[in-house]
Amino acid sequence: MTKPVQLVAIGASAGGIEAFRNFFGAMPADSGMAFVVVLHLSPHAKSLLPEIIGRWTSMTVAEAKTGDVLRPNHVLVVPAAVTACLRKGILHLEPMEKDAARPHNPIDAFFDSVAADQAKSSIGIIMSGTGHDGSLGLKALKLAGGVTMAQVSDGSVPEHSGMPDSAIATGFVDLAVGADEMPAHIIAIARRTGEPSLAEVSAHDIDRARLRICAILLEQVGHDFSQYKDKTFLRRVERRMHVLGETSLDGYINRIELGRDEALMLFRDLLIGVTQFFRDQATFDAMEKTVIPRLFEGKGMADTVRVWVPGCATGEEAYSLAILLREHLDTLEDTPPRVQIFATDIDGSAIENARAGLYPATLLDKMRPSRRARFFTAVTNGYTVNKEIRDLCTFSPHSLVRDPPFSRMDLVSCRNLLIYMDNDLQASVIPCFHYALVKGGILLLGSSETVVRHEALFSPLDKEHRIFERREGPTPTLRAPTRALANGAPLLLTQASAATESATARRERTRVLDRASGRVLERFAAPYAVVTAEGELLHYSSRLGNFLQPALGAPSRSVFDMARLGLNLPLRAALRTAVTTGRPVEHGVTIHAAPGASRHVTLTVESLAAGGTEQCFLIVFKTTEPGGGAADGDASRTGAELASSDSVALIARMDGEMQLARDELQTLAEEHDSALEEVRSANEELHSVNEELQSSNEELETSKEEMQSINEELQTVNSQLGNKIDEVDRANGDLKHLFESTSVATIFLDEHFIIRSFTPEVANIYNLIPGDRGRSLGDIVGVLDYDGLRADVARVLDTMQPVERRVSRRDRTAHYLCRINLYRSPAGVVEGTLVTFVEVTSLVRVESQQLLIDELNHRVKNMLAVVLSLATQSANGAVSLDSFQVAFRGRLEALSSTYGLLSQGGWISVELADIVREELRPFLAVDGLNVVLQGPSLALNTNAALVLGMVVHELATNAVKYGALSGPGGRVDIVWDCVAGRFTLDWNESGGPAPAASACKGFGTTLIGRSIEHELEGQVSFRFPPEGLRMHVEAPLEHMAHRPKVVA
Amino acid sequence: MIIAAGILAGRRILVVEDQFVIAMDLERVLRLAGGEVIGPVARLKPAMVLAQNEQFDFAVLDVNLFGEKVFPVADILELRAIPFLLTTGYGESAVPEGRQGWRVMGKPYDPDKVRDQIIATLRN
Repeated sequence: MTKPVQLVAIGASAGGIEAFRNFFGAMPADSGMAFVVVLHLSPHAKSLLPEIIGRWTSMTVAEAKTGDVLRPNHVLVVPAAVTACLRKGILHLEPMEKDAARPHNPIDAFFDSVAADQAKSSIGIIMSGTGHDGSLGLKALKLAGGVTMAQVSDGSVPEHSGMPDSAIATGFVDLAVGADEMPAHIIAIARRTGEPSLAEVSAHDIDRARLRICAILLEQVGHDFSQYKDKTFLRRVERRMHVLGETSLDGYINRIELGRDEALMLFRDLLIGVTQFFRDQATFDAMEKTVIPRLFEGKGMADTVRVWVPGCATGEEAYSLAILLREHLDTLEDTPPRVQIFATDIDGSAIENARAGLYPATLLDKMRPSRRARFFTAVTNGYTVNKEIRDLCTFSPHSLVRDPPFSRMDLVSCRNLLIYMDNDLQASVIPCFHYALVKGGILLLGSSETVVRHEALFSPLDKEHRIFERREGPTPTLRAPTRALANGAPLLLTQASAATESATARRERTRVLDRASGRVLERFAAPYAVVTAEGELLHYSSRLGNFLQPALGAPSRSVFDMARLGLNLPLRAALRTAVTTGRPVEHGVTIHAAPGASRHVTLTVESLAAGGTEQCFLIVFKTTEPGGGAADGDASRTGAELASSDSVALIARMDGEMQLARDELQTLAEEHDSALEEVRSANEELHSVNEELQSSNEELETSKEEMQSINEELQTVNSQLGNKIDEVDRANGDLKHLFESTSVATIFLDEHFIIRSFTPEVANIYNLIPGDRGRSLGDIVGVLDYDGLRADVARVLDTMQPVERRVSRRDRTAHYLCRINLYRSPAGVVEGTLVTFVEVTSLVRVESQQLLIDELNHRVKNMLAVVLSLATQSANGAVSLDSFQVAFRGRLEALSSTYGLLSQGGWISVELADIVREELRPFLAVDGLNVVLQGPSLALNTNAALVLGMVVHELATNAVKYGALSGPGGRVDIVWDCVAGRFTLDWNESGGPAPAASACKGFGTTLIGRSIEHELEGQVSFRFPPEGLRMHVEAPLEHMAHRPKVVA
Repeated sequence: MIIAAGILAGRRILVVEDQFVIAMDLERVLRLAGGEVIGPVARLKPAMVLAQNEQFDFAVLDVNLFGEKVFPVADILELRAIPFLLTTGYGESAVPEGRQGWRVMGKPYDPDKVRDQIIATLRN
């Protein structure tokens, strides 16, 4: 297979001539490449371009015809008024359509066909020109694998930068260099075309290089491309290597490692194709299935489905969405809602492209043919969007960062814009989307973008396709839009300050004028004027009155308006010639100011080549006297000669004038055309201004709605605040009631033991009044037997551990559980202590009851033990069972009666007299005079009561058996006393039978003796005088008397 | 149970018991077995004096002595390595924390059983 000829396709417009001169001047004639030049010109202008280019190159230059093939070292110039395209290496020219309403973009059309035909071996170049023709073509070419270049000002070439700037702004330009530098690059690229590609490098090396490049990109531009498809990725890398002339992967890696610029270029290359129609088909399928129907849910005829496409670039995304929506509208049966798509971009020229809705065919390649047929109309140079789609979209310039966001959107599609932004910018843009969307609105992002760090605002609906749903909730404060897009944004490549530009232009102009006047003075010393290429006056010299005069009507700066009669047309012709050829023009004119008074004027128009932005022309008016030297010659001639020469001269002059008139006519016609063109473009501009006004209006309405919604939100927030306050009041009240009703005495103390607050219940413990807040609790006298409170509080603050303590009132009528806790502020800072007193009096009582039961148990067992011992010993001392029975029962009864008394006394104390009387009661005479008790009141303790009860019982039993009570007339005197801590008791019997001393040596006396000695530590003595038994007891009071115990 | 008279001959036994009737009964039983009874004492103070100074082979200690606990006496005996038996109406729970090894006999008890325990202990 033979390689196709390398093609260099060049597009240019106004100012292109200069660029061609620089380009072809530097291009060697034997490059082996074919050149095709397309001019964006008025269709009627006759082009002399082949001849002009021919002056600067030795290559063959020809006007292109249908059927021309690309040949090495040949330049083909596409004539005006046709659309050229390349099919299988052969040029086809078609007459331009007569539809004037449609923009005519011959450069886009040709580049597009090159892209389709032989992109890989082609280089597309955009040179000087106004407008934006060529941008989309260049994009198509690059997408197909071609290399793209655009001219930038190299400091000396004056040019119109509209076209190249627009091309650069799309981000699809590989090299932006001056026209004279291009040939060197082109030759380098051409030479490399045959060199080995990456296909010959081992897969392992490629993979290693790929990962390395991804790592560098991540580091330098902050985006991870490791998930990108290998093939796409490598194709981009290969292209960049190709453009740079790098032959090895390692060399290229070195390059991106060294400079951020190249990394950025690769980054941009990796992202191209971003704005293709239906880019990421899967995403659109998902949108079509799930998202689009959702947008129409619950919408009636009066509603609008609103979609916002920020960063729409040249509009493909917006139109794709419009197509989806339109298709869905068709499926809806009754009264579908309106659909509005707001597509915005910061780049005005991209918006222009989008509004035009004209796309090269290659950009629509991947679209379903049915779709393309329905929504696009084929024209010679591509496809235009049909009205039904176009009308759904409103395009307007808008900065996401600087301008306020739109609102009430159902869908925001912002794909592959966030990746250009750094984190800070993203952080301000994503809330902006949240604000823009209605409740449940959908956000669509690009495949490598996500709402990380903003999960609170958006939840994923379809993670794979980056479809997110707006979460309900308030939008965080939108950041004041002060920053412009920072780094890496291709949208801002050309933004110069208008003020500085005009200042430099003015300075530049002054310099030009100085030079001009110097030249005129030295060479002509004639009247002159300096004008622009359009004939606008910039400067007058003196003595111009003969040639120029103020025109009728509004003041005008046009030299043509001011030219005196007869000078107008010649001036136009001369200036035009000077402009097109760039060479000085001299023009002789005869002015018939008055009959017979004609003047001959020579107009000299010369370009003042200046490095500034504008080309200036010098017009010099030189008057030459009619006749003059020629008249002298005439006089010496014969009449016939004169006559014939006169007629010849006349014919010649008339011929000349005719030629002049024809030229002027041609000029006029051309000017008319260009004026028409201008009117048309003005009309277009008016259209777009209108559209902009509409969108501004929309924005205003949106703002108004925003204000309303903010107002509503404020009201809501206000009423919420009111509710909150009510709630707090209620909670406060509840707490107060709680404190009052729980009878938990609570004191809030600060770190210095100062009372901050307390509950009313505290009044039972501390005599606090509300005025005591702020006093130290140490100053307040309380009823508690709790001196360690202060120390405990200090301990709690010190150890951070709560303290619990049982405390009682000094009078023991109430008991409390005192709990001291740390008081922490809501922030967790210790601000003091919280002292609570919970009354536990009843608990304490229950506890003591439990103790009582335990004690009772013990006593019962003890008593049983006593009874058991008594039984054993009574049995040992008894002579018969009967006597045992009597003695044992008597003793038990004695014990029982003492216990009876004790229980009456609450088991605390019992009077001695009561015990004695109780034990003797069965033996009292009817008159009761046989027993006499005498002694002070003595409260006995339990033990002493039991001992003395037993003693009295044994004595009484004995007295009844053998002593004073055994018969009538006997008597017992019982006398006791307490002196100096000693207790004495005397049992004196009288009037009974004389006692026998031996009779008293029984178990009874043993019991008496042992009990007094053992339990009371006292002594007992018995005497037996004939009157009756005498017993004397002495014992220390300390073991007998009841002493009130102090409750511990 | 038939006890050989004099099985406790030469043995001295301290009896601490606040109830004289019980003390008497126990004393009688121990004497019958040939033992010599030190005390009986009813209060803590004299009991401690005896525990410190007297020579004896065994002690029977009532836990509650008119509201005072007998444990200080037990502690002294433990130091002197003299075996003893606690008697109480509170049951085994009367033994304080950490002294679970102390032997306890619940009241009311048969004095013969106390005597048998003493005999068994002294035999070992």
